[in-house]
Amino acid sequence: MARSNLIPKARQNPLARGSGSLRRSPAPHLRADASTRSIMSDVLIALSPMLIVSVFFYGFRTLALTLTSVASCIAFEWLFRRAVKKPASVGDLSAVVTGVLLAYNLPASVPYWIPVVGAAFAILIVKQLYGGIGKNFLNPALAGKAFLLVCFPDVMQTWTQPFEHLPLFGPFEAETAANPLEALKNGLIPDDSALELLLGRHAGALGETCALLLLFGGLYLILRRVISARIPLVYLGTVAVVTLLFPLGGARPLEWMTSELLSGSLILAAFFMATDYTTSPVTPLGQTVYAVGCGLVTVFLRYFGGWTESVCFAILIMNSCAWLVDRIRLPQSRGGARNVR
Amino acid sequence: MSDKRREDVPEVPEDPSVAEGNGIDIPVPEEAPARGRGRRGRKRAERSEADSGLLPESGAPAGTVYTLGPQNEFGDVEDVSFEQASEDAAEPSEPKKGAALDISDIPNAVAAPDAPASGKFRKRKKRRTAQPRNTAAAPEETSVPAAEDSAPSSQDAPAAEPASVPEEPPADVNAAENADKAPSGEPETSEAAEPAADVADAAPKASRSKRRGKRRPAQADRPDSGDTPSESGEAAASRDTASAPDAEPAVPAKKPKKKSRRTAAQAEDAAGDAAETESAPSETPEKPLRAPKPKAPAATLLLHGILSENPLLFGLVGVFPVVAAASTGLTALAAGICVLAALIVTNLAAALIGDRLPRRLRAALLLLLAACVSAGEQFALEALLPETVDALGIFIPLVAVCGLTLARESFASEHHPASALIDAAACGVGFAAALTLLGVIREVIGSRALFGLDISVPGLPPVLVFAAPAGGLLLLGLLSGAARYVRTKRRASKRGSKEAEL
Repeated sequence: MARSNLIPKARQNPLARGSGSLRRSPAPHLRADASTRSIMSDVLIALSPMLIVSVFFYGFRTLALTLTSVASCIAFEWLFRRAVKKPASVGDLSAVVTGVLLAYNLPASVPYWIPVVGAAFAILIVKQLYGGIGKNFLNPALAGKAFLLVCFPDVMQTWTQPFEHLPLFGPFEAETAANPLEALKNGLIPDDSALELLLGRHAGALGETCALLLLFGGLYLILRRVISARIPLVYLGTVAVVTLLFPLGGARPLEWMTSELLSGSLILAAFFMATDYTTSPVTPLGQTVYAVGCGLVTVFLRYFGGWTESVCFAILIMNSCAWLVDRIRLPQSRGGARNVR
Repeated sequence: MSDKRREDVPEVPEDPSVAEGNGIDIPVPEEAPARGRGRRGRKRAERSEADSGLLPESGAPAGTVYTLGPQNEFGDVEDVSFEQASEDAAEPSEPKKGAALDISDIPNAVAAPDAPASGKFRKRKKRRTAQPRNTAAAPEETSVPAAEDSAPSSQDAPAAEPASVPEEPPADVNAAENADKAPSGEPETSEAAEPAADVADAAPKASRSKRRGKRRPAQADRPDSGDTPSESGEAAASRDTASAPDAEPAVPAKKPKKKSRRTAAQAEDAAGDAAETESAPSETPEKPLRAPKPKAPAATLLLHGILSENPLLFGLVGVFPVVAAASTGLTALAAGICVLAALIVTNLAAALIGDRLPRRLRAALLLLLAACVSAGEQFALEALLPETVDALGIFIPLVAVCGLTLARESFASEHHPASALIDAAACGVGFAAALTLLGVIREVIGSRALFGLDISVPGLPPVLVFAAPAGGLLLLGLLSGAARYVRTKRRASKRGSKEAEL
């Protein structure tokens, strides 16, 4: 587990850092040099290729949207911490990650105030009102996206064609395109082929289309031990199994499953948002149950829900159940005062 | 608890001189403390109380310790809070531990040089009552009450830290020797100190010494009283409440009520607390003596219901209309008025029924009443505001099961109908006002309108989530947090200014 290695350096016992060859310190004795900042940097590295591809698909507007989102997340975080006289937490880069993930969930055609509103909700209400990093019970980026989706559904569900570059400023007329999820919702196999879905040449949010790069980013995080493979693999596996077993509208199961897996923000969410340390369970069994729950709720909402994109709602629902899932089998403490006679 | 009281009452000996057998010579006045003496005493107390109306202290015969001026002059609520305050203040007894006594309320008290402010004292009192009472009461049986004028210094000193007491500086020269003797806890000392306690005229000690005067004979004929101090202390305390059921709410009787009835936020306020605890003993359904229902000051009730204890913003009671009904200002106002009307009827009924019915039956009856009221409201709304009926839908009948009804029932059933009526009006108005505020905000943000008038700004789309139930809960949370923040700030500043005065 990566988590046990994540004790920041600052918390090390100062006595243990002696100059001699023998050191005395309480467990854990194996330490990694990981800190919140280094973890978040890894996540940003894993996410950055997608940004380049989105510029390639939609023009520099995606970059501007991402920067707006990141800047407003940082600003809100800094302002709030300053207003309530808490130590500043901008330096741990968690607000930057939130901003990037929030922007990746937006269509490229949204006006610039949309990421600002989303960042305000994500940072102020979801994250900071609950106490800041490590204390929020919902993933801030997902909650911000859900808030925007519920508040401004028409803006948030207008998709444009890739390779049609959008202007940076000013009003524009762009040809709208059908998100493959809309076809899936109606029980149809989308027009885009599996390869197009994998490479990202289809309509969708600016950071969720290219499944291949997201998979590489996830692999990087797993190899760097920032996340464990359990949650994303079980999540995607559950979705795969359920869609394979129950394809809608008489579609061919394998084709249906591939389309379901590769469209929408499923892969982005499975690797980068469902694995959020704060909002996912801690125990291995709990993580498995959580991931299975995410998959089941995702498919359920995609089949029967009102929204075309339901991954964010599914993960938010399971986020709020994480504390419960963690209680399924709590680790037994051995020894202790009760056993002493 | 009530059963225990009834059993305990006959055990209390009628003759206080029994106490002499144990070597504890307690000079008790001829007119013995009336309410400690079983049936006869209670009847006497009843008579005199009937004469004196609501003031319980005047029920005691003249010549006893407890007819005390300052307490009678207070209002009921203040009276009780004061009595308990003096008890609680006396408990810690050591200035270095931060004991606080409200000097200004005590006529004969000698002000200690470092007496803290009264505002602070009230705050502390809450914390202190939270700890188990019998630990303080236990050694008190064997040891001895203190001397006059030294209430803060030597009252319960042996209870807290027997060893450290003799070192403390006594507040008065008279009290010095008594204070030194008191902690020794021997009968000889008690002989010397007890008269002093009985004739004490320091106000805060009155209730305490009265209690002691009654308790002591009761303890004397119980052989195990000294051996099991904590148990006997508890027993004595419960007997104490039994013997004075309507005059003074003793602390043990008050504690469970406070936990069950009040939310944590409400419990912070001393005055409101006193208003509820005032009526603590009148809960016993089978008690032959029906105490006159206490009244609470109207201004306090209004202030609490509308502002400082607003049932929606602080109590978070009756959230259901917020979720669905209060999406516009008009529907919120209609829902608020419905709740207000139902609450007035049920609260008044609860006050009139009182303890004539057991609690469960009473709750059921009140719910039935509320259902009747809400049925009437349905028709009234259809006639007056037909456009809100569709929006409110099922939530008009649901007013019948609004949590506010049962939340205020416990207050209303123990108070005078007038007080219950004022409380219902205050809480209902506070609820309706907060709900309307919520509805207006939701309407402005969520649908860009104000009471149906279109105020939409081009280029500024409505934030649809605020028209949905989720937005209502979100906004309620934010409003409640803001209100709590303001209240905490105000209380802190008030406390600070009071401290600055002294």
